[in-house]
Amino acid sequence: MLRVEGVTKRFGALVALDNVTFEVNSGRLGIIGPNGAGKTTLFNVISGFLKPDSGRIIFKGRDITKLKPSRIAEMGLIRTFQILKVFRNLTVEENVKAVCDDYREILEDVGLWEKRNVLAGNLSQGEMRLLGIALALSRNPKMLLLDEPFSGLSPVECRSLADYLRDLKVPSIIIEHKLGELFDLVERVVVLNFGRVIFEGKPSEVVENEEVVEAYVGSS
Amino acid sequence: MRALAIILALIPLLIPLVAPKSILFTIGLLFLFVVYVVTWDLVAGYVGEVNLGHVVFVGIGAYTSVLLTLNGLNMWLSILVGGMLSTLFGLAIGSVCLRLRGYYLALVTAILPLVFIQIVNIYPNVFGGYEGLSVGINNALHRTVEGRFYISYLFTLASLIVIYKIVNSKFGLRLKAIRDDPDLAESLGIDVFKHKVLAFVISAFFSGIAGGITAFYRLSVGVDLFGISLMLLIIISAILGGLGTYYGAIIGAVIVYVLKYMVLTSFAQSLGMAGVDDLILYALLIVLIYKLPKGIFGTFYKS
Repeated sequence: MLRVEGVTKRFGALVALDNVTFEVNSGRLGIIGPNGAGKTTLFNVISGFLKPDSGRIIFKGRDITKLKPSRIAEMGLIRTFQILKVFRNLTVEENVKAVCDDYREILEDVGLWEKRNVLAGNLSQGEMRLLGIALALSRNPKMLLLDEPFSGLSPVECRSLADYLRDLKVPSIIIEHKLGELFDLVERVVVLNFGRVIFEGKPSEVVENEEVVEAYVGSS
Repeated sequence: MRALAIILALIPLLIPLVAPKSILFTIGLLFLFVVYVVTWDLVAGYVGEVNLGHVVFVGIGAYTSVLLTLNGLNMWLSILVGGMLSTLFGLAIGSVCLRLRGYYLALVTAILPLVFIQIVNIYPNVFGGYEGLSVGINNALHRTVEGRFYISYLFTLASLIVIYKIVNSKFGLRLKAIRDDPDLAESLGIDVFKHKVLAFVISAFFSGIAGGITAFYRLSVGVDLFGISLMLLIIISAILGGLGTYYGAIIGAVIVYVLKYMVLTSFAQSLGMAGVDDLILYALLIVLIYKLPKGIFGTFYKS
């Protein structure tokens, strides 16, 4: 469904993404890596906010590398943001209404229906995170790119979001630092370091891979 | 709120029965000023893009329609052509400047009024120079002040209803979403650029038509319609009323216009110091930004 082919992105002398290649067809893929490894840059490139210096992004058989973000979203590839992004001066209901017509079901699903008349800017961090995910879902996505969906959530909120995501049948790519939550959720993991893919495999294998451990804790 | 708005909207129909002609004339111009402000706020308040050259839309509409009418074209048709030319100009500026994030629209549009004032002065035999062009009573909207007052009122009411429908539509909601967070809007499939350009073009069309009506209302067209002084009045009105609140722009426009043309101008004259009225208004703008950044409507009305 989504194929990232040899994507390279440079910012001046810094190589943020170095010939990154992987593919996701179904299920959930986790992307991990130390800070600055290029994870968010990768999402920005896939979703069209940044154009790669070389390489291609293929989604549902079509080259989307040069499309604008709104076109890519219309095709059903929807991303969320690491920093909390909601339409702060609109109510919760208006937030979803701006994107789709049947907002009630989505708000009930994420548990925000009771708060529908609250200004989004007045929600708690956890609620904003949920609204962000509700917005992504309101586009009826074919594939989701979730950038640190668990950050800023309490342990209880984490668990309920994890349950919710597990029930979603939408193929997803998830960037997450909370490895416990992530490994329970995804079937495969890609590890990025200095913009390169250094590992791809099952969550259980990741912790045993020497190069990955080294990337995280330094060489011993 | 809506019922109150409808009642308030009907009151002006009674004004000609009580007000002297000179006041009536000024109130008719006030209506058109309300349209300038509401159309400016459609872009500034709802989309979050600052157009410092909004008066150019008004001026293009006014000059085009007057020049065409003086050359024999039907007045109403001329006004429509003026509005369309304004729209095309808006499309050209918008499709270049709204593509980029940041201050580009404000930077480019800030210079436009000066460019148009220069053009008018460079070709005085076409545009009438500083003195402008006289329309002549035979080409007026209507021969009587009352008649012109009612036409101005009807046009303003129609424009306000259309803009109301727009800002309360799904399109309007998306504009507000874009104002709050363009990246998020874009990521959810809302084409930010197209929405911004469309809002800009609608704003250009209505202010262009309003410009044409203004010229045939007051029977003249001059560089004041391109003027920075008018532009500042528009900005002060929208900020006083509350950006992006619809009713705020109307309330602000009425207050500022009455203050400027019915109170401060005569005050300045009585002092014998021309320009004091503008100074007071600009001081008011600065105070407002500090003390009432959300404007009257944004501060006192909670939905």
